[in-house]
Amino acid sequence: MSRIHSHRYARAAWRVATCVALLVCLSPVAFAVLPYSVELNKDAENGWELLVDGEQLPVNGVVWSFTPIGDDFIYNLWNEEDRFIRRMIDTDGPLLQAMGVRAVRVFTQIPPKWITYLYRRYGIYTIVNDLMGRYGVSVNGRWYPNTDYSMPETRELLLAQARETVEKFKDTPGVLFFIFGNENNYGLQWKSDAIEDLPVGERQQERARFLYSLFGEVTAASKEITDLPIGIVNGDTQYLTIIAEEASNIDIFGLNVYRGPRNEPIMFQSVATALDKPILYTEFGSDAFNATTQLEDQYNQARFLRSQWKEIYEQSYGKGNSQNIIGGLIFQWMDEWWKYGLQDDLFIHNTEGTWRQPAYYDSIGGENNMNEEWWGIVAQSPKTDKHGINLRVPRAAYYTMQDIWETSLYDIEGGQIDQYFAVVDIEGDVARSGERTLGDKIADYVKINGSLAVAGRGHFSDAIASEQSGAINFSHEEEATFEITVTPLHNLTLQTTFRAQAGFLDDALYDSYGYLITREDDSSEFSYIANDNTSYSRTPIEIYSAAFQYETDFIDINGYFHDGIDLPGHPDYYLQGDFFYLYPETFDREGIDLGLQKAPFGVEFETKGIAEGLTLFVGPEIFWGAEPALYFKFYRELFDGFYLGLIHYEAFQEEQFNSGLAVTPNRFPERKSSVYVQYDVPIDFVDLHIGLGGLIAGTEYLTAATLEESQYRSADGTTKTIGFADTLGGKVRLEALFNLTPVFNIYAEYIYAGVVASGRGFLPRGGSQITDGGASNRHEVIAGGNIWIGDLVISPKIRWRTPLEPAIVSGPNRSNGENSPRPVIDPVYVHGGNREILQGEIVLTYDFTGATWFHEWNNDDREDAVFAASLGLLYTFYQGPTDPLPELFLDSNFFGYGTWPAGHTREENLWSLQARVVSNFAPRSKIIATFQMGSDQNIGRPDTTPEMRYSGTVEFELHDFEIGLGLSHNAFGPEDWHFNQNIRAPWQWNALLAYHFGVLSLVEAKNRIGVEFRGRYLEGGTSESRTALNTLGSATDLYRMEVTLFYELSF
Amino acid sequence: MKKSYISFLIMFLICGSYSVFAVDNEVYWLPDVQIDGEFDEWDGLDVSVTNIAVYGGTHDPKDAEGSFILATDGENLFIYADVRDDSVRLNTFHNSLAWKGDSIEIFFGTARGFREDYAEGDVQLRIVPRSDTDIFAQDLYVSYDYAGGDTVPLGEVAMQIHRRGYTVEAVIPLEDIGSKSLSVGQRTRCEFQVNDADMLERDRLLRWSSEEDDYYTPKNWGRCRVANP
Repeated sequence: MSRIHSHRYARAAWRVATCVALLVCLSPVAFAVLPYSVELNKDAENGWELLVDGEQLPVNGVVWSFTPIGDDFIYNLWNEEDRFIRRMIDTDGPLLQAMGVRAVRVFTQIPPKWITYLYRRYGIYTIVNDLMGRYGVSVNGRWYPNTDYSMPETRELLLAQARETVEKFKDTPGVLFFIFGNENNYGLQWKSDAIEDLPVGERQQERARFLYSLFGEVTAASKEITDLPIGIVNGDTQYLTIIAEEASNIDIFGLNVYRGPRNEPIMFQSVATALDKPILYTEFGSDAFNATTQLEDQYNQARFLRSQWKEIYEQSYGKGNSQNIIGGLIFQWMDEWWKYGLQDDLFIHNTEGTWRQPAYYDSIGGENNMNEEWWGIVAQSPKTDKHGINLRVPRAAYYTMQDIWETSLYDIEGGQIDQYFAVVDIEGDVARSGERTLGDKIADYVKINGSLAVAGRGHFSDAIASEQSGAINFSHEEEATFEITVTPLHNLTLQTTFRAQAGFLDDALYDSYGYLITREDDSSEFSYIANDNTSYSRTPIEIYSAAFQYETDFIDINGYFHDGIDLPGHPDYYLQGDFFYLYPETFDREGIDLGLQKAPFGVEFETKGIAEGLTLFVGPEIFWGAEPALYFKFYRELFDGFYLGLIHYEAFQEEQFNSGLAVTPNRFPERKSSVYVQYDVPIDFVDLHIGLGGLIAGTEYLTAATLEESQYRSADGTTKTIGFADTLGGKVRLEALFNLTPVFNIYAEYIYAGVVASGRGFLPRGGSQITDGGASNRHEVIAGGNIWIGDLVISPKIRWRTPLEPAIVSGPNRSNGENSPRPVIDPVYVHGGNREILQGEIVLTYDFTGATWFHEWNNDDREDAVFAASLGLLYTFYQGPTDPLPELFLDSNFFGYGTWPAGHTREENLWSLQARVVSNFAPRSKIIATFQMGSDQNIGRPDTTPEMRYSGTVEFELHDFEIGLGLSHNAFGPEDWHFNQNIRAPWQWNALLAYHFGVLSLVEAKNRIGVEFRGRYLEGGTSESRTALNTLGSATDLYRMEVTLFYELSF
Repeated sequence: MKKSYISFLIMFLICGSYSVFAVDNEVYWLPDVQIDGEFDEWDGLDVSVTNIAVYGGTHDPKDAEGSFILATDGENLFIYADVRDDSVRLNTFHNSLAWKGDSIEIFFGTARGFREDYAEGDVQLRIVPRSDTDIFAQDLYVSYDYAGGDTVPLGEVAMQIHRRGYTVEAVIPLEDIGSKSLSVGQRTRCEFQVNDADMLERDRLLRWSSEEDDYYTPKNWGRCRVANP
């Protein structure tokens, strides 16, 4: 090395060293040493005190909550950009400081620098809380919702996690001390042989001993790392003697306590006698919603806090009583709107009580009086500041605490306490928090929401022979909705949404929303075709949806018209004994709502109390496509682990089946009944469930008016009459979860369905493409399992099926319906279902964040992992011949059933691959990519050779921007029948750019402005495809494209 | 069609019918019980003993144990309990939290059938020792019932606190616990519980019939029948 070079290296090294030194000095956290000491001292005469640098510090604190309206329990402020986090802290910090807060309780996700920021800027300390597996723990790849503290692996994991917590925060300026757990003693529910062998009365204590011995180990390990005090968070004063035996090394006994306005001296004496540790209330307080009056009650919340804090002062240092409490953390700082319903009603401040405590001010009979969404001493407003942070609205309790904390619990004599608290003016604090305006009072009963959407679209093509040749056609649409929710009684809610529309967007690419067939510009009415091939008229203003809910002690009555009060539709009853899916889920959500239908439309009655489990749902269209019908259900656990489900579905009107065939067939009103029993077998190492179901369906054929209507054509050429046995079906399902390493489950179900005994199809879930289709006429076995290896789940699955009555593979030339060997009205006819099939599938899912299931319907919004992905491969080893679909008439405006194709759908081996990747690669930045490819056979085109298709999408969420891209090659058009009839487009693409204001949702976008391009290129496709996919143009068009500008706003 | 309905009905009857269970205990028909702190009218009747430790270790009769008798005159429910307790402490907790201190509980139900939740006629009664100077100054209230319960004292109680524990007799009108009347031969559900707090808060929970540590599942209670002595 030359000298010149060595000088250059030396200068570079010096610069690097200088930069590093500067960074170290300027960094507020790195290599910092705590600028204060924290200790707990017991004065023999005066009791316990908390000293910071030798000065007494009262723990005047709150449990800090900051989840915005519209977010739920997975919200993580600390994943936001620094700029936003700082604004959030700068929103709460001044209010906390002005109130007199000295410490907040925060969980371990908080980055150390924000603890320091809160401390240096506002003088507020942080109590760091490690939950110690309170809400479950993942060990060896398996998620345990009830943490087993006796498992060595669990103990090692939680101990290591605790060490990591203390290491991470021990030198962070602002940390006051550490607390572990969160009333974990309420979650001691695991089972094991060692525990079950004990006498009943010792089991819970033995479990508790495992928990508290772990707390003892964690405390010991923490004290090797830091000099800061170590505490636990217990549920009330349970297990004091065991704590004394197993965790006597703790410095602070924290307890969450909800006993009412006072806890009585015996509680403080108990802790002093058994434990002799200082007490810290880690949660206590009162909610601000009065279950009796069903109104917000700031006065009583403040009154309760005054009483509780008076007792804290009475029992604190130097007062001559137990002298063993050092303060409290009020639960909680701000209301959180997600707590009732968890993921639902996130924009509604729910008033339902979730638990009962008669010692509180609003106890009424046996009703739940504790309202989880109203515990804040600060409310949050739906209005936001310019940064999008919900405005804080201090309640009376805020000012009450401000008054109380004016004098520290260390600075007041015991004899002064009564007088000190007597002058705390709660009425005045209520006045300071603001008088309720007339608007506030009306808002207790009436809520209004709405939306506005405008869009303009231009579409064009290369039309050669079309009237629209070369032209760009414009259309526009305006829509406004107005939703009013009235709660005249606390148990009655009424809701209606009105919709006004003007204009109509031409859908050049034939979307799934129906399409315009006539439009009269000088008329206010439009008519158009829906998916069920029915013509509808639309008026400018309509009732878009309506719902009501009436609750009593004995029965709930829920009314649905395209909507529900709590859900935008109605879920299925699969988990309530509907083993054959006689009621399919029906929701009004983007992408799944069949917009022109008004399902669910009906009234549901659900009994409670002694008759709990009975449901009657009756109406004109209780699910998509249903004729006027009733659905009856009884489901209940009769004995321990033994469940019974009884279902009956009865339609009142025959289904009108629209067909282009010479004979328009009618189907009889459907009638289906099922019975289901489940038994959960109590075995230690395996969770075994046995389900057995019976089905009677298709009995309407037995009472047909003519013999022909109850007959079908058999593959052997004979004509058979449907008998009672043909209406029977059954299913048995075994499922077992093995608590081994690795954890895995297996399941298998066998289905028998008589030739007319059909249930309904179950939507494929969990990333699988295999599901019980609900068809009649089959023996079928579906079996599979899941293996959890770390954060990877491997899910294999197989299906075998054979029909009772096979397809007719030979016979007369099928030139039309009359000559077809099995007409579409034949009861045995099943669209491609009456064929033998053998399939295998494997789905791999990687996701290390257990709280957001990767295959959940709204995972696009909820997934919070840095990286998560799934890959599924379905291979069809064999599928035999099946009855084909009749061909369709295809023209530019209409389609209908036409002639029968020649031949039958052949034996083929097919495969399908689908993948999805989600990455939250930076704060407020997400990418979601999907890819599908595979070969498909079309039952409406038996002679076509299976072809490959490819499609992929990429969606970006970048701060407030949404970018979406999609491209497919040789993929089907958007409708189901496009698949059946092999209607493909050589290329289809779309691109979207939108700016969101408010909460960005990829699933249910509400506030955005943007532009979308969609196009289709048809050269190389079949003439049928060009005809079918050129809805508004000519069959000879080679490409079509549309550009849409849109603006959507909701309030 | 008839066949389908008959099949459906048969399946419903088979799967929905309940078994008939034997009787574990009796509610005595006693038309003349006085709540006066004199307990001689209970002499000679069979008692139900709480010898299952649901919480707090094993059953130790020297530490705590309760002997219970229920009776009725058709319109009232009479309760007798003799609790052996080596350390009786007057209970100072609010009624909603009185289970934390020395107290007894009686679970009684006239609703029919197995049930996970309380139905009308199911109650959890709690008797709480509040005074060792006035035998009538004790609390009896419906701690939980179909409507959720309340903490307002009801009925009458007489309790003698003594060196080996406490003895109590009480009465509560059936209409106050959601039952219209009782008659000889009628089946009911019943369960007895002792909450024992020797030093601090409850450290042992004893039951007569059920091993389950919950108060809200009537199907776990024992089986009783109204009978003549």
